[in-house]
Amino acid sequence: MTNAYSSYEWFLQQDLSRYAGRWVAIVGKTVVGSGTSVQKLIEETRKKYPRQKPFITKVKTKLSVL
Amino acid sequence: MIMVLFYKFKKDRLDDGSYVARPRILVELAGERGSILIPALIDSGSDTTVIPYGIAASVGLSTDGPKDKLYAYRESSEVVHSKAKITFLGKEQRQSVTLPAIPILVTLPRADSEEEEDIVLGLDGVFEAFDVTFKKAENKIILKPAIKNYFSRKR
Repeated sequence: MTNAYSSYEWFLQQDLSRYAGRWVAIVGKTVVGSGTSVQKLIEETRKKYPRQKPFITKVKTKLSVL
Repeated sequence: MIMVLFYKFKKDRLDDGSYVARPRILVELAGERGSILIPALIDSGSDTTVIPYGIAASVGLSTDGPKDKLYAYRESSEVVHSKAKITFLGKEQRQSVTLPAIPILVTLPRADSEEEEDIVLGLDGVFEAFDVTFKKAENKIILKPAIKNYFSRKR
């Protein structure tokens, strides 16, 4: 299994509702940052983990229609 | 041999304590400034793939294409047409499938709000490339590369 898919499988199991409405960055199996600006979050994550591809998602806790 | 990709629904807890299960597809979005991994929502009700400006800028996608308006349920957003290289990642590296130039819309930032929505994979370019099967009861989303060549909507 690739590292990316491993992070994905870990992400699927997590309750991230404490980050409601925020973007989170995941490296491996750890949330390494969160924020309201996704651009800022990606830049910060890249600086801290330059050899990793950031896994980025938004935590949506409201019922929604896409 | 055709590689079939398997993904799952993610159970999200809502503010009222209830849960919804949303279809999440693991993709890598690549541009001139690098790439990121995203568990993108996939929506057969979306005409096209939508990416927020903050993500587009971070990976270096072009945002100088034609402007347009995107209409959602009661809302509209200013967008710009672009293209993106998106790799659908499999459990093993060899299973991954790259679509080099999917038509996308980049939602432009609003002056009154920093809030940006998640990436949504829509019909154009994606549903021609894959036969997509949703099996929510089995917690599976299956993407099987379509046998025929597909034609993207021309802009």
